[in-house]
Amino acid sequence: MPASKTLAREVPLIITFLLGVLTVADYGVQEPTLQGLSSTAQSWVVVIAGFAVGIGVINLLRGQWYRVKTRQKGWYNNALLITTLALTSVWGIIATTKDPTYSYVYFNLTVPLTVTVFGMLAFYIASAAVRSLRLRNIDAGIMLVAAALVMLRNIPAGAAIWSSLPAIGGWVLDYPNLAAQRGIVIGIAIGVVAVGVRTILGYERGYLALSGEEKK
Amino acid sequence: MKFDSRWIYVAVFLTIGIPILAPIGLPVLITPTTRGMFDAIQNLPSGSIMYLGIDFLAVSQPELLPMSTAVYKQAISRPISIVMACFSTTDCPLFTQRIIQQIGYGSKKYGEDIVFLGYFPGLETPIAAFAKDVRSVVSVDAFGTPISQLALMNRVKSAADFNLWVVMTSGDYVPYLRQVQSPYHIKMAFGTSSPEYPTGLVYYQSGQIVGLLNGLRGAAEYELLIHSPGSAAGGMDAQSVTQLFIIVAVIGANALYFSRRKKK
Repeated sequence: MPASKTLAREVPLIITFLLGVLTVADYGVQEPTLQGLSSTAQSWVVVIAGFAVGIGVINLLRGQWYRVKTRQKGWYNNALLITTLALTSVWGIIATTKDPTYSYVYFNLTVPLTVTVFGMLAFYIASAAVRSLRLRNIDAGIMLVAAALVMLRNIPAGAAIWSSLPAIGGWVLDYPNLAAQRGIVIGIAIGVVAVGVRTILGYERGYLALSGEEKK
Repeated sequence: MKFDSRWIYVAVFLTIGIPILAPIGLPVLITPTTRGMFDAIQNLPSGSIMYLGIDFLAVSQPELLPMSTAVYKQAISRPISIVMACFSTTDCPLFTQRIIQQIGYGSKKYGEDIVFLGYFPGLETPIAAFAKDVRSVVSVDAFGTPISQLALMNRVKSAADFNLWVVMTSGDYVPYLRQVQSPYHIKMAFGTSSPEYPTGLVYYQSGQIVGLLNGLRGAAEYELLIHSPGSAAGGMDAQSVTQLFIIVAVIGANALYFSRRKKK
């Protein structure tokens, strides 16, 4: 096997196996050296995650810059993104995020824009509900009634209309909803354990981002 | 005849706007999940240490900022110490600083009764490391002061030193439950957005968390509990009228659908 292939595939698999076993063992074995090693490994992740933010920014800039350079449709939006990213990053690093002007821009530009985009959902959800929620069969009927009861439970108007309405909506949340949610949560937990074991044992390799040749 | 969606947009705009301009003042009942968090903070013995994570995305600000503000107001009024940090979002330090700037520390002294440690990227792993050994993740606070110079941090070595752990989150329950509540058996409570509330109920009903705030409704209830009505309580009328409109419009659309089907 060529050395480059070993580096790309085997070394990360060995590191994953060792760190995975170390972290899992830390939960079950009360051994100071082992716990110290696990703690160190976990604090490395904080540093690596910090670098990952930097890599994310570089990737984003590369993609955006390519669109500006090749003058693709709407390239000025990409140029605007690069400019604002550069300005806020440099400003944040020099003046720190505690700077009142930095904070002012964040709370008076970023937050309102983000919240407005999210707030538009209220209009689309209302329109979609009116246009598509039809009592075509029993399933749709159950969903409609459950949705109405939970909505009435969540708003003060529900209790004002009929004092028992919040209790009925609460029953929908506490029983049918919880039964399904708990099933989903348990299913996810089992799935996470399965993926974890597969990753530690080297069966799950998607995170290595190997090319077709390297996978062989 | 094709129905123009823009009429619905206009109606939603009016049902949101009018109650904000002319509040109706519908009474807001306190739900057990909200009462649970309030009581958990209120009943903390003097000298307790509470973790407070104001850890949500900017999109959740209308729901989570009012509830975070209300919980912070209650916490600083109690004879307890507060450690603030965040692990989920980069927005967190700005929201935490904003709340601190607007409300201050009350009678508490920074470093002795309250600290803000800042943001640690990576979510679950730093939470696990912080819970096990705070110093493995934190060396300075959010303002650059070494934690060895903060008297409160001498009392905080690991998650086991906290009496209550409260997080305002856009839905990241599991990492905290898995890495803090379960191994250290810490009392825990969450504030979250309405869409994430049904999932959080799983952990409330199982007894893993003692309280759960439900979006704007939860924030409004909390504002009333601490006798400090704010933007959430003010927004409840708008939410009531808008949701009632949606229910009535859906019923109306179905009535129209059936009458047309009958004619055919």
